[in-house]
Amino acid sequence: MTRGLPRTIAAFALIAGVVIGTAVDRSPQREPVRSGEYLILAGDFHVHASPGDGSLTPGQLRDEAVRAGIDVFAVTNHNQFLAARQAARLTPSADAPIVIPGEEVTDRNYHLVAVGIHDVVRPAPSAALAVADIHAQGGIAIAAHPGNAFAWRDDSTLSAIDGTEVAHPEHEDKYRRQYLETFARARRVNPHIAPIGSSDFHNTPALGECRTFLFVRERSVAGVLDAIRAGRTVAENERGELFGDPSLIERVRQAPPRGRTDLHPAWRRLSVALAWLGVGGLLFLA
Amino acid sequence: MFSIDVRLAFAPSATYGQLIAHNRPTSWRRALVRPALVLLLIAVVVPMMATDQITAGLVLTSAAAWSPVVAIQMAIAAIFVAPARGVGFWRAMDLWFAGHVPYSLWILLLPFLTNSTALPPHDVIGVSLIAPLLWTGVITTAFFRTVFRMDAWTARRRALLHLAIVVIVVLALGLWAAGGISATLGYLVRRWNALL
Repeated sequence: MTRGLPRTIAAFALIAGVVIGTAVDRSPQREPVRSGEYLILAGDFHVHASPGDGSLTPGQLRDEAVRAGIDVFAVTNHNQFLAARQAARLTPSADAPIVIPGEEVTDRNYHLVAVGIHDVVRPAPSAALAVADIHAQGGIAIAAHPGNAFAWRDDSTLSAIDGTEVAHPEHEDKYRRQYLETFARARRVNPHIAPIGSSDFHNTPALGECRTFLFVRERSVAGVLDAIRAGRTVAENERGELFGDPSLIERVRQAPPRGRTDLHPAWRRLSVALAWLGVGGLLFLA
Repeated sequence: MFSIDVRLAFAPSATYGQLIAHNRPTSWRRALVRPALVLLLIAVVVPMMATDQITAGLVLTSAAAWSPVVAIQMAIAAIFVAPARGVGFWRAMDLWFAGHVPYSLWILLLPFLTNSTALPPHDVIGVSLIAPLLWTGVITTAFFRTVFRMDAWTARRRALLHLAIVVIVVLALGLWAAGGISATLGYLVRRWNALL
Protein backbone atom coordinates (compact mmCIF):
# COMPACT_ATOMS: atom_id res chain seq x y z
CA MET A 1 0.00 0.00 0.00
CA THR A 2 1.25 3.51 -0.80
CA ARG A 3 3.05 5.05 2.16
CA GLY A 4 0.84 7.66 3.78
CA LEU A 5 -2.38 6.43 2.22
CA PRO A 6 -3.74 4.68 5.37
CA ARG A 7 -3.11 7.87 7.33
CA THR A 8 -4.86 9.98 4.72
CA ILE A 9 -7.86 7.65 4.79
CA ALA A 10 -7.85 7.86 8.61
CA ALA A 11 -7.82 11.67 8.49
CA PHE A 12 -10.80 11.65 6.11
CA ALA A 13 -12.65 9.19 8.35
CA LEU A 14 -12.08 11.47 11.36
CA ILE A 15 -13.27 14.54 9.48
CA ALA A 16 -16.29 12.67 8.09
CA GLY A 17 -17.18 11.42 11.57
CA VAL A 18 -17.03 14.89 13.10
CA VAL A 19 -18.98 16.46 10.20
CA ILE A 20 -21.73 13.81 10.34
CA GLY A 21 -21.88 14.01 14.16
CA THR A 22 -22.21 17.79 14.01
CA ALA A 23 -24.88 17.64 11.31
CA VAL A 24 -27.12 15.18 13.17
CA ASP A 25 -26.70 16.81 16.60
CA ARG A 26 -30.12 18.43 16.66
CA SER A 27 -32.43 18.46 19.67
CA PRO A 28 -35.97 19.73 19.18
CA GLN A 29 -37.16 22.74 21.18
CA ARG A 30 -38.55 21.60 24.55
CA GLU A 31 -41.92 22.94 25.53
CA PRO A 32 -42.31 23.24 29.31
CA VAL A 33 -44.80 20.71 30.69
CA ARG A 34 -47.53 22.33 32.80
CA SER A 35 -49.45 20.57 35.54
CA GLY A 36 -52.01 22.79 37.27
CA GLU A 37 -50.27 25.77 38.84
CA TYR A 38 -46.81 24.22 38.35
CA LEU A 39 -44.32 23.66 35.55
CA ILE A 40 -42.70 20.23 35.64
CA LEU A 41 -38.94 20.45 35.09
CA ALA A 42 -36.48 17.56 34.83
CA GLY A 43 -33.36 18.04 36.96
CA ASP A 44 -30.06 16.35 37.73
CA PHE A 45 -28.43 17.74 40.88
CA HIS A 46 -25.34 15.55 41.14
CA VAL A 47 -23.08 16.16 38.15
CA HIS A 48 -19.27 16.23 38.06
CA ALA A 49 -17.46 18.50 35.62
CA SER A 50 -14.03 19.34 34.27
CA PRO A 51 -11.81 20.74 35.77
CA GLY A 52 -12.33 18.08 38.41
CA ASP A 53 -13.28 14.43 38.14
CA GLY A 54 -15.81 14.93 35.36
CA SER A 55 -15.03 14.67 31.65
CA LEU A 56 -17.11 17.56 30.35
CA THR A 57 -16.85 21.28 31.01
CA PRO A 58 -19.95 23.08 32.35
CA GLY A 59 -20.64 24.45 28.85
CA GLN A 60 -20.43 20.98 27.31
CA LEU A 61 -22.66 19.65 30.09
CA ARG A 62 -25.27 22.25 29.25
CA ASP A 63 -25.35 21.02 25.62
CA GLU A 64 -25.52 17.42 26.84
CA ALA A 65 -28.39 18.37 29.15
CA VAL A 66 -30.34 19.55 26.09
CA ARG A 67 -29.81 16.13 24.45
CA ALA A 68 -30.73 14.35 27.70
CA GLY A 69 -33.94 16.35 28.20
CA ILE A 70 -32.70 17.93 31.41
CA ASP A 71 -34.00 21.43 32.22
CA VAL A 72 -31.78 22.12 35.22
CA PHE A 73 -28.60 20.62 36.63
CA ALA A 74 -26.05 21.37 39.32
CA VAL A 75 -22.26 21.16 38.93
CA THR A 76 -21.11 19.38 42.08
CA ASN A 77 -17.42 18.49 42.22
CA HIS A 78 -15.78 17.01 45.32
CA ASN A 79 -14.78 19.68 47.88
CA GLN A 80 -13.94 22.27 45.23
CA PHE A 81 -15.71 25.07 43.47
CA LEU A 82 -13.58 25.72 40.37
CA ALA A 83 -15.91 24.11 37.81
CA ALA A 84 -18.96 25.49 39.67
CA ARG A 85 -17.51 29.01 39.29
CA GLN A 86 -17.17 28.39 35.54
CA ALA A 87 -20.77 27.16 35.53
CA ALA A 88 -21.88 30.35 37.26
CA ARG A 89 -20.24 32.39 34.49
CA LEU A 90 -22.19 30.67 31.68
CA THR A 91 -24.43 33.13 29.90
CA PRO A 92 -28.01 32.44 30.93
CA SER A 93 -30.53 31.87 28.18
CA ALA A 94 -34.29 31.38 28.25
CA ASP A 95 -33.96 28.29 26.03
CA ALA A 96 -30.90 26.69 27.63
CA PRO A 97 -30.99 24.46 30.72
CA ILE A 98 -30.49 26.23 34.05
CA VAL A 99 -27.02 25.58 35.51
CA ILE A 100 -26.67 25.86 39.31
CA PRO A 101 -23.27 26.01 41.06
CA GLY A 102 -22.86 23.38 43.74
CA GLU A 103 -20.48 20.97 45.39
CA GLU A 104 -20.36 17.39 46.62
CA VAL A 105 -19.16 17.96 50.17
CA THR A 106 -17.09 14.81 50.54
CA ASP A 107 -16.14 13.41 53.91
CA ARG A 108 -15.07 9.93 54.94
CA ASN A 109 -18.44 9.48 56.73
CA TYR A 110 -20.87 11.32 54.46
CA HIS A 111 -21.31 12.80 51.01
CA LEU A 112 -23.64 15.81 50.82
CA VAL A 113 -24.67 17.49 47.62
CA ALA A 114 -24.87 21.26 48.12
CA VAL A 115 -26.89 23.09 45.46
CA GLY A 116 -27.24 26.85 45.08
CA ILE A 117 -24.17 27.86 47.11
CA HIS A 118 -21.76 30.63 46.16
CA ASP A 119 -18.54 29.48 47.82
CA VAL A 120 -16.81 26.24 48.73
CA VAL A 121 -18.16 24.35 51.78
CA ARG A 122 -15.41 22.58 53.72
CA PRO A 123 -16.26 19.09 55.03
CA ALA A 124 -17.22 19.52 58.69
CA PRO A 125 -16.66 16.90 61.42
CA SER A 126 -20.34 15.99 61.19
CA ALA A 127 -22.93 16.02 58.41
CA ALA A 128 -25.18 18.23 60.55
CA LEU A 129 -22.52 20.98 60.68
CA ALA A 130 -21.97 20.74 56.92
CA VAL A 131 -25.74 21.06 56.38
CA ALA A 132 -25.73 24.20 58.54
CA ASP A 133 -22.89 25.66 56.41
CA ILE A 134 -24.82 24.92 53.22
CA HIS A 135 -28.01 26.51 54.60
CA ALA A 136 -26.03 29.56 55.75
CA GLN A 137 -25.12 30.16 52.09
CA GLY A 138 -28.77 29.84 51.06
CA GLY A 139 -28.21 26.45 49.46
CA ILE A 140 -29.98 23.15 49.83
CA ALA A 141 -28.42 19.94 51.18
CA ILE A 142 -29.06 16.52 49.64
CA ALA A 143 -27.77 13.23 51.07
CA ALA A 144 -25.75 11.67 48.25
CA HIS A 145 -26.05 7.89 47.59
CA PRO A 146 -27.02 7.44 51.27
CA GLY A 147 -26.28 3.73 51.70
CA ASN A 148 -25.21 1.92 54.83
CA ALA A 149 -21.55 2.81 54.24
CA PHE A 150 -22.39 6.39 55.24
CA ALA A 151 -23.52 7.72 58.59
CA TRP A 152 -27.17 8.64 57.98
CA ARG A 153 -28.46 7.02 61.14
CA ASP A 154 -28.84 10.25 63.10
CA ASP A 155 -32.45 11.53 63.00
CA SER A 156 -31.46 15.14 63.75
CA THR A 157 -29.27 15.20 60.61
CA LEU A 158 -31.98 13.57 58.52
CA SER A 159 -34.48 16.17 59.71
CA ALA A 160 -32.10 19.01 58.68
CA ILE A 161 -31.40 17.95 55.08
CA ASP A 162 -33.62 19.07 52.23
CA GLY A 163 -33.51 15.96 50.07
CA THR A 164 -32.08 12.48 49.77
CA GLU A 165 -31.06 10.55 46.69
CA VAL A 166 -33.60 7.78 46.25
CA ALA A 167 -32.59 7.09 42.66
CA HIS A 168 -28.89 6.78 41.83
CA PRO A 169 -27.40 4.52 39.12
CA GLU A 170 -26.41 1.23 40.74
CA HIS A 171 -25.48 -2.24 39.56
CA GLU A 172 -26.67 -3.91 42.77
CA ASP A 173 -30.20 -3.97 44.18
CA LYS A 174 -28.94 -3.89 47.79
CA TYR A 175 -27.85 -0.26 47.34
CA ARG A 176 -31.22 0.67 45.82
CA ARG A 177 -32.90 -0.82 48.90
CA GLN A 178 -30.61 1.10 51.25
CA TYR A 179 -31.41 4.41 49.54
CA LEU A 180 -35.13 3.68 49.85
CA GLU A 181 -34.73 2.78 53.53
CA THR A 182 -32.87 6.04 54.20
CA PHE A 183 -35.62 7.97 52.40
CA ALA A 184 -38.35 6.21 54.39
CA ARG A 185 -36.55 6.98 57.68
CA ALA A 186 -35.96 10.59 56.64
CA ARG A 187 -39.65 10.99 55.70
CA ARG A 188 -40.69 9.93 59.23
CA VAL A 189 -38.67 12.76 60.84
CA ASN A 190 -39.02 15.23 57.95
CA PRO A 191 -42.29 14.76 55.98
CA HIS A 192 -41.29 17.42 53.40
CA ILE A 193 -37.94 15.91 52.50
CA ALA A 194 -37.53 15.80 48.72
CA PRO A 195 -36.97 12.52 46.90
CA ILE A 196 -34.10 13.13 44.50
CA GLY A 197 -32.94 11.20 41.43
CA SER A 198 -29.39 11.95 40.28
CA SER A 199 -26.99 10.50 37.74
CA ASP A 200 -23.73 11.26 39.63
CA PHE A 201 -22.39 11.85 36.12
CA HIS A 202 -18.62 11.63 35.73
CA ASN A 203 -17.38 10.27 32.41
CA THR A 204 -19.74 7.73 30.88
CA PRO A 205 -22.91 8.53 28.93
CA ALA A 206 -25.41 8.83 31.75
CA LEU A 207 -26.39 12.45 32.33
CA GLY A 208 -30.02 12.36 33.45
CA GLU A 209 -30.00 8.54 33.66
CA CYS A 210 -31.68 9.03 37.03
CA ARG A 211 -33.51 12.34 37.33
CA THR A 212 -35.70 14.51 39.50
CA PHE A 213 -39.01 15.94 38.34
CA LEU A 214 -39.66 19.28 40.03
CA PHE A 215 -42.97 21.09 40.38
CA VAL A 216 -41.87 24.72 40.12
CA ARG A 217 -43.84 27.96 40.25
CA GLU A 218 -41.29 29.69 37.99
CA ARG A 219 -38.51 28.49 35.72
CA SER A 220 -35.59 29.93 37.70
CA VAL A 221 -32.92 28.91 40.23
CA ALA A 222 -35.12 30.29 43.03
CA GLY A 223 -38.11 28.36 41.70
CA VAL A 224 -36.08 25.12 41.58
CA LEU A 225 -34.63 25.50 45.09
CA ASP A 226 -38.08 26.40 46.42
CA ALA A 227 -39.57 23.21 44.93
CA ILE A 228 -36.88 21.06 46.59
CA ARG A 229 -37.27 22.80 49.97
CA ALA A 230 -41.03 22.19 49.80
CA GLY A 231 -40.54 18.54 48.77
CA ARG A 232 -42.40 19.01 45.46
CA THR A 233 -40.28 16.46 43.61
CA VAL A 234 -40.51 12.98 42.16
CA ALA A 235 -37.39 10.86 41.63
CA GLU A 236 -37.00 8.55 38.65
CA ASN A 237 -34.42 5.76 38.50
CA GLU A 238 -32.75 4.26 35.43
CA ARG A 239 -35.56 1.67 35.18
CA GLY A 240 -38.22 4.37 34.94
CA GLU A 241 -39.56 3.70 38.46
CA LEU A 242 -40.92 6.79 40.23
CA PHE A 243 -40.58 7.66 43.94
CA GLY A 244 -42.28 10.35 45.99
CA ASP A 245 -45.71 11.64 46.89
CA PRO A 246 -48.32 9.45 45.09
CA SER A 247 -50.33 12.49 43.95
CA LEU A 248 -47.21 14.05 42.36
CA ILE A 249 -46.26 10.73 40.77
CA GLU A 250 -49.71 10.60 39.22
CA ARG A 251 -49.26 14.11 37.82
CA VAL A 252 -45.91 13.11 36.27
CA ARG A 253 -47.55 10.06 34.69
CA GLN A 254 -50.33 12.24 33.25
CA ALA A 255 -47.93 14.79 31.76
CA PRO A 256 -44.53 13.13 31.42
CA PRO A 257 -41.70 15.50 30.42
CA ARG A 258 -39.75 14.32 27.38
CA GLY A 259 -36.63 12.25 28.08
CA ARG A 260 -33.47 11.93 25.98
CA THR A 261 -33.88 12.68 22.29
CA ASP A 262 -31.83 10.79 19.74
CA LEU A 263 -33.28 11.66 16.34
CA HIS A 264 -30.63 9.95 14.22
CA PRO A 265 -29.16 7.07 16.26
CA ALA A 266 -27.71 5.23 13.25
CA TRP A 267 -25.94 8.35 11.92
CA ARG A 268 -24.74 9.22 15.42
CA ARG A 269 -23.23 5.75 15.88
CA LEU A 270 -21.63 5.92 12.43
CA SER A 271 -20.09 9.32 13.24
CA VAL A 272 -18.66 8.00 16.51
CA ALA A 273 -17.23 4.88 14.82
CA LEU A 274 -15.66 6.92 11.98
CA ALA A 275 -14.12 9.45 14.37
CA TRP A 276 -12.77 6.72 16.65
CA LEU A 277 -11.24 4.74 13.76
CA GLY A 278 -9.97 7.94 12.17
CA VAL A 279 -8.14 9.30 15.20
CA GLY A 280 -6.73 5.83 15.98
CA GLY A 281 -5.55 5.47 12.39
CA LEU A 282 -3.99 8.92 12.42
CA LEU A 283 -1.91 7.94 15.44
CA PHE A 284 -1.00 4.37 14.63
CA LEU A 285 -0.89 4.01 10.83
CA ALA A 286 1.99 4.99 8.54
CA MET B 1 1.12 -0.20 7.40
CA PHE B 2 1.83 0.78 11.03
CA SER B 3 3.60 3.97 12.03
CA ILE B 4 7.15 4.17 13.31
CA ASP B 5 5.65 5.03 16.73
CA VAL B 6 3.94 1.62 16.87
CA ARG B 7 7.18 -0.13 15.92
CA LEU B 8 8.93 1.88 18.62
CA ALA B 9 6.42 0.76 21.24
CA PHE B 10 7.19 -2.91 20.56
CA ALA B 11 10.91 -2.66 19.80
CA PRO B 12 12.04 0.57 21.45
CA SER B 13 15.83 0.16 21.42
CA ALA B 14 16.05 -1.03 17.80
CA THR B 15 13.65 1.63 16.54
CA TYR B 16 15.31 4.48 18.46
CA GLY B 17 18.59 3.20 16.98
CA GLN B 18 17.18 3.50 13.45
CA LEU B 19 15.73 6.93 14.15
CA ILE B 20 18.95 8.48 15.44
CA ALA B 21 20.95 6.84 12.62
CA HIS B 22 19.12 9.22 10.29
CA ASN B 23 19.61 12.20 12.54
CA ARG B 24 18.32 15.45 11.20
CA PRO B 25 17.52 18.78 12.83
CA THR B 26 13.89 19.10 13.94
CA SER B 27 12.05 22.42 14.09
CA TRP B 28 9.84 23.26 17.05
CA ARG B 29 6.83 23.08 14.73
CA ARG B 30 7.69 19.50 13.73
CA ALA B 31 8.27 18.58 17.39
CA LEU B 32 4.79 19.81 18.31
CA VAL B 33 3.01 17.54 15.80
CA ARG B 34 3.00 14.44 18.04
CA PRO B 35 1.81 16.30 21.20
CA ALA B 36 -0.87 17.93 19.02
CA LEU B 37 -2.03 14.51 17.83
CA VAL B 38 -2.21 13.30 21.44
CA LEU B 39 -4.34 16.35 22.26
CA LEU B 40 -6.57 15.59 19.26
CA LEU B 41 -6.96 12.02 20.51
CA ILE B 42 -8.02 13.23 23.97
CA ALA B 43 -10.35 15.83 22.45
CA VAL B 44 -12.11 13.15 20.38
CA VAL B 45 -12.21 10.23 22.81
CA VAL B 46 -13.05 11.94 26.14
CA PRO B 47 -16.31 13.61 25.01
CA MET B 48 -17.13 10.50 22.96
CA MET B 49 -16.82 8.42 26.14
CA ALA B 50 -18.99 10.85 28.10
CA THR B 51 -21.72 11.53 25.56
CA ASP B 52 -21.59 8.75 22.93
CA GLN B 53 -21.53 11.62 20.47
CA ILE B 54 -18.95 13.56 18.46
CA THR B 55 -19.31 17.08 17.13
CA ALA B 56 -16.93 19.82 16.05
CA GLY B 57 -17.94 21.83 19.12
CA LEU B 58 -17.14 18.95 21.46
CA VAL B 59 -13.71 18.41 19.84
CA LEU B 60 -12.74 22.10 19.96
CA THR B 61 -13.92 22.76 23.52
CA SER B 62 -12.38 19.50 24.76
CA ALA B 63 -9.06 20.38 23.12
CA ALA B 64 -9.10 23.70 24.98
CA ALA B 65 -10.12 22.10 28.28
CA TRP B 66 -7.61 19.24 28.16
CA SER B 67 -4.64 21.12 26.68
CA PRO B 68 -3.11 21.59 30.19
CA VAL B 69 -2.73 17.78 30.40
CA VAL B 70 -0.56 17.72 27.26
CA ALA B 71 1.26 20.86 28.45
CA ILE B 72 2.10 19.08 31.72
CA GLN B 73 3.39 16.05 29.77
CA MET B 74 5.57 18.37 27.68
CA ALA B 75 6.86 20.17 30.78
CA ILE B 76 7.83 16.87 32.41
CA ALA B 77 9.45 15.71 29.17
CA ALA B 78 11.37 18.98 28.90
CA ILE B 79 13.03 18.30 32.28
CA PHE B 80 14.47 15.07 30.90
CA VAL B 81 15.30 16.07 27.32
CA ALA B 82 16.76 19.50 28.18
CA PRO B 83 20.38 18.23 28.21
CA ALA B 84 19.66 17.09 24.59
CA ARG B 85 23.11 15.38 24.41
CA GLY B 86 23.97 16.05 20.81
CA VAL B 87 20.58 15.52 19.19
CA GLY B 88 19.12 18.99 19.86
CA PHE B 89 16.25 19.88 22.19
CA TRP B 90 13.36 19.74 19.70
CA ARG B 91 14.69 16.56 18.05
CA ALA B 92 14.92 14.96 21.51
CA MET B 93 11.40 16.16 22.33
CA ASP B 94 10.08 14.68 19.07
CA LEU B 95 11.80 11.35 19.75
CA TRP B 96 10.46 11.36 23.31
CA PHE B 97 6.87 11.86 22.15
CA ALA B 98 7.32 9.10 19.57
CA GLY B 99 6.96 6.87 22.64
CA HIS B 100 3.33 7.96 23.20
CA VAL B 101 1.71 4.74 21.92
CA PRO B 102 1.02 3.08 25.32
CA TYR B 103 -0.90 6.14 26.61
CA SER B 104 -2.57 6.75 23.24
CA LEU B 105 -3.73 3.16 22.99
CA TRP B 106 -5.03 3.33 26.57
CA ILE B 107 -6.97 6.54 25.85
CA LEU B 108 -8.36 5.09 22.61
CA LEU B 109 -9.61 2.00 24.46
CA LEU B 110 -11.10 3.91 27.42
CA PRO B 111 -14.68 4.00 26.05
CA PHE B 112 -14.65 0.19 25.85
CA LEU B 113 -12.88 -0.31 29.16
CA THR B 114 -15.30 1.91 31.08
CA ASN B 115 -18.46 0.52 29.47
CA SER B 116 -17.65 -3.19 29.36
CA THR B 117 -17.54 -3.91 33.08
CA ALA B 118 -19.82 -3.52 36.09
CA LEU B 119 -16.98 -1.81 37.99
CA PRO B 120 -17.18 1.97 38.47
CA PRO B 121 -15.39 3.75 35.57
CA HIS B 122 -12.99 5.48 38.00
CA ASP B 123 -11.78 2.12 39.29
CA VAL B 124 -11.29 0.82 35.75
CA ILE B 125 -9.43 3.97 34.69
CA GLY B 126 -7.19 3.92 37.78
CA VAL B 127 -6.27 0.24 37.54
CA SER B 128 -5.83 0.12 33.76
CA LEU B 129 -3.53 3.18 33.89
CA ILE B 130 -0.84 0.93 35.38
CA ALA B 131 -0.31 -0.74 31.97
CA PRO B 132 0.72 2.39 30.01
CA LEU B 133 2.75 3.66 32.98
CA LEU B 134 4.90 0.51 33.03
CA TRP B 135 5.06 0.13 29.25
CA THR B 136 6.21 3.74 28.91
CA GLY B 137 8.87 3.01 31.53
CA VAL B 138 10.38 0.44 29.14
CA ILE B 139 10.30 2.94 26.26
CA THR B 140 11.87 5.80 28.26
CA THR B 141 14.66 3.46 29.42
CA ALA B 142 15.38 2.69 25.76
CA PHE B 143 15.25 6.44 24.99
CA PHE B 144 17.92 7.26 27.59
CA ARG B 145 20.11 4.33 26.54
CA THR B 146 19.87 4.75 22.78
CA VAL B 147 19.24 8.44 22.16
CA PHE B 148 21.28 9.86 25.07
CA ARG B 149 23.74 6.92 25.07
CA MET B 150 23.54 6.43 28.85
CA ASP B 151 24.69 3.22 30.49
CA ALA B 152 21.96 0.75 31.49
CA TRP B 153 22.01 1.66 35.19
CA THR B 154 21.75 5.43 34.64
CA ALA B 155 19.06 4.95 31.98
CA ARG B 156 16.95 2.83 34.35
CA ARG B 157 17.34 5.37 37.16
CA ARG B 158 16.27 8.22 34.84
CA ALA B 159 13.27 6.22 33.61
CA LEU B 160 12.32 5.42 37.21
CA LEU B 161 12.60 9.09 38.17
CA HIS B 162 10.36 10.01 35.23
CA LEU B 163 7.86 7.35 36.27
CA ALA B 164 7.91 8.66 39.86
CA ILE B 165 7.24 12.24 38.72
CA VAL B 166 4.36 11.12 36.48
CA VAL B 167 2.84 9.02 39.29
CA ILE B 168 3.15 11.92 41.76
CA VAL B 169 1.50 14.36 39.32
CA VAL B 170 -1.31 11.88 38.50
CA LEU B 171 -1.87 11.14 42.21
CA ALA B 172 -1.87 14.84 43.13
CA LEU B 173 -4.42 15.66 40.41
CA GLY B 174 -6.47 12.59 41.32
CA LEU B 175 -6.53 13.47 45.02
CA TRP B 176 -7.52 17.05 44.25
CA ALA B 177 -10.34 15.91 41.95
CA ALA B 178 -11.57 13.30 44.44
CA GLY B 179 -11.84 15.81 47.29
CA GLY B 180 -8.58 15.27 49.18
CA ILE B 181 -6.75 12.50 51.01
CA SER B 182 -9.44 11.78 53.62
CA ALA B 183 -12.21 11.56 51.01
CA THR B 184 -10.09 9.32 48.80
CA LEU B 185 -9.17 7.00 51.67
CA GLY B 186 -12.85 6.80 52.62
CA TYR B 187 -13.70 5.83 49.02
CA LEU B 188 -10.98 3.17 48.91
CA VAL B 189 -12.13 1.67 52.23
CA ARG B 190 -15.74 1.50 50.99
CA ARG B 191 -14.64 -0.11 47.71
CA TRP B 192 -12.54 -2.62 49.62
CA ASN B 193 -15.43 -3.47 51.97
CA ALA B 194 -17.77 -3.85 48.98
CA LEU B 195 -15.37 -6.33 47.38
CA LEU B 196 -15.10 -8.46 50.53
